[in-house]
Amino acid sequence: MKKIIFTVLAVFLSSALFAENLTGYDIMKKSKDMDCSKTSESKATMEIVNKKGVKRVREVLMKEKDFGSEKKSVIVFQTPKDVAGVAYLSIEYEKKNDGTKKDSDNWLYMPAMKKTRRISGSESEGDFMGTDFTYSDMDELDLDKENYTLLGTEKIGDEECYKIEAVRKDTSKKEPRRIVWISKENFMLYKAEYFDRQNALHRVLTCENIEKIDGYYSSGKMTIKNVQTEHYTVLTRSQIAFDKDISDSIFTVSALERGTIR
Amino acid sequence: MKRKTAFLLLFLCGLLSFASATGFENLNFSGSLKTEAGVGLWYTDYSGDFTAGSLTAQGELKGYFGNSNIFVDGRLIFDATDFSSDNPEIFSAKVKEAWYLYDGSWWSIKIGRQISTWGAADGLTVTNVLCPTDYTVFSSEKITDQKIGIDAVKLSFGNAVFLVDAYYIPFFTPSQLPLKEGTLMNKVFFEELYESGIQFGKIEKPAVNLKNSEYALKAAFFLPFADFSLYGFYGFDDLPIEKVLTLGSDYYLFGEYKRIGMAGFDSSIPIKDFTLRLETSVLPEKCFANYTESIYERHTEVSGLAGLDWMKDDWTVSAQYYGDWISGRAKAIERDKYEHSATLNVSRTFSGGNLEIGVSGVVGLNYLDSFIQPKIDYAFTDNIKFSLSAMLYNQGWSEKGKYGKYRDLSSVILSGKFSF
Repeated sequence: MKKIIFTVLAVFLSSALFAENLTGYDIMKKSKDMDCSKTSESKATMEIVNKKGVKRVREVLMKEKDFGSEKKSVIVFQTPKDVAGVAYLSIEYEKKNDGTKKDSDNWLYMPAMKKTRRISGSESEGDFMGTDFTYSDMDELDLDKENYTLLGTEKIGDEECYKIEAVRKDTSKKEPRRIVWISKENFMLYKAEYFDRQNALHRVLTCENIEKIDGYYSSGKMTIKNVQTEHYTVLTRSQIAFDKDISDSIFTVSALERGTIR
Repeated sequence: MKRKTAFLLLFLCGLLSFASATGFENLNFSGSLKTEAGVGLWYTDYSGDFTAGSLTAQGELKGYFGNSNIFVDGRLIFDATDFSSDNPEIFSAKVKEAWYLYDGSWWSIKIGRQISTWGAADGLTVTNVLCPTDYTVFSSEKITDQKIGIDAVKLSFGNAVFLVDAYYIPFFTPSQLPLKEGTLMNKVFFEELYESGIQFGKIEKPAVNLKNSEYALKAAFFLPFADFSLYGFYGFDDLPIEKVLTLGSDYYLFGEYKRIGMAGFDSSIPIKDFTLRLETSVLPEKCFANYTESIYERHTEVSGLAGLDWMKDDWTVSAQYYGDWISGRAKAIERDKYEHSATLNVSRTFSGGNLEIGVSGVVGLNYLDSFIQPKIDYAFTDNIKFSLSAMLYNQGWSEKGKYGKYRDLSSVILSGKFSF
């Protein structure tokens, strides 16, 4: 009997110890691997608020599909009227065997000019359509571009989280360092702090309304604040769905130009 | 023209009846009110005069039912500058687009009045011969963006890697010229004509019949390293070829629209932070007017463009070089054998995209004449935008320059737009 108890205890302790031996990289990889749905779609409302409290609202439709060696996503602006119909198609490529990764292919459709432009795919730190999110925030996380250090654990609200420091290998980037809080339970991102080249706090991201939909965890509300300009964006997602059938034809330049993505 | 208008109205009624009868869901109406006022600069012949003064009410109706989609874009325009003409018609109505689209995922068919833009060029025309241009309006918008819809059937099919658009255009739509005497655009466009004492005769349009239809084809390819497209067009030059004839002791300008064929190619190649754009077109045996002998001559015209775009953070910089060559002797057709120009466009956004400051310009390299447009766009709210720009036409070392001859149009233009 004692032998059984000791064996069970040993297994239990070793599991606990193994869990506690996760490195920063391991945790980030687990977090990245959470997003393994074949397709995802949602409607998002982005409230952009400046330091005077003046609000602008953007509504977008977002769809994504994993084709194996590449991931395609489409974002279509629905309001306000001035940007309605503006659509962005992006193809992200998987890393090759030699560790290199091809820049994403991107197209931007402008309904006012009835024209689709092929745009540069290299990672852009510019803001995404006037929000406090950047184009590189929209890109998939590339674990080989950063060094990760587990700083400990901390509670964000009621959620016990791993606190990890991520430092870019390319220190010329606008935000070479960030600290992220990843839930111990579901490995979802709960908070992130972004630091500029002078190591001053630049942006803070908080993720709320995290729930399981169609078997996948998803954040229903994300707030990103630029603490230096006191400008913030609240992204609220609705009609979230995973692994639903989305036609391949949606992720084409033709679909952007037809304006029939809904 | 009247037959075409009747067809369009019939089509519009049919479209709206169809939408109503089939219970089109999600019928969505939106629109805008845009006002524009421009004043001639002090050194021009129109110093202090209103060079632009318009109010445009634009309405858009969009709807879908299953795979069927409809779209109508109509405008009502009040043009205050038309008061200066001999026969003021200050109100005009336009249907810019009105089409039905059936979306079959990998194929689609679009029927009705529609605007399509071809080519990779910005502000210049190389392959973009499909839709004609409205030259009657003096506006802060680029002339290449002032397009008129064509009445066409467009069949498209393709996949993620290629897209083919085939057009059948039964009714020819010419560019709208500022023929109305007394208006500013008429005075500037036809200044040489008036100075020569030549009067307007008739501009002959092709008869509306099947043999005068136009055809166009575009095949586009979207590859990881580049996009490229091939173009083919067989139709009419949307500008008339002019001829001066004497009737008694008077001289009259007559015009007719001649057939053209165009084969073209363009490519967009992303390279790190840059995008390289290339475009070329060949128009074999295109008709040109020999004003001296009052005959038409045929020359092959070859155009080419190379452009480079850089977009990083809040900056956009774009530069282009354009060249246009014609075969044979050019002197009699009053143009240079090789004409070339360069453009530069620099802009930056501030305040999260609410404020945009930029300058764009084109220099004609034959005579160093130029057009420069500094511009400020500010969005007060999502619905209200203001824009202040200067349209500066500068003469080079000769009066022959394409941009220099519009020197007297140099103006400051203020515009406001309310969208709903």
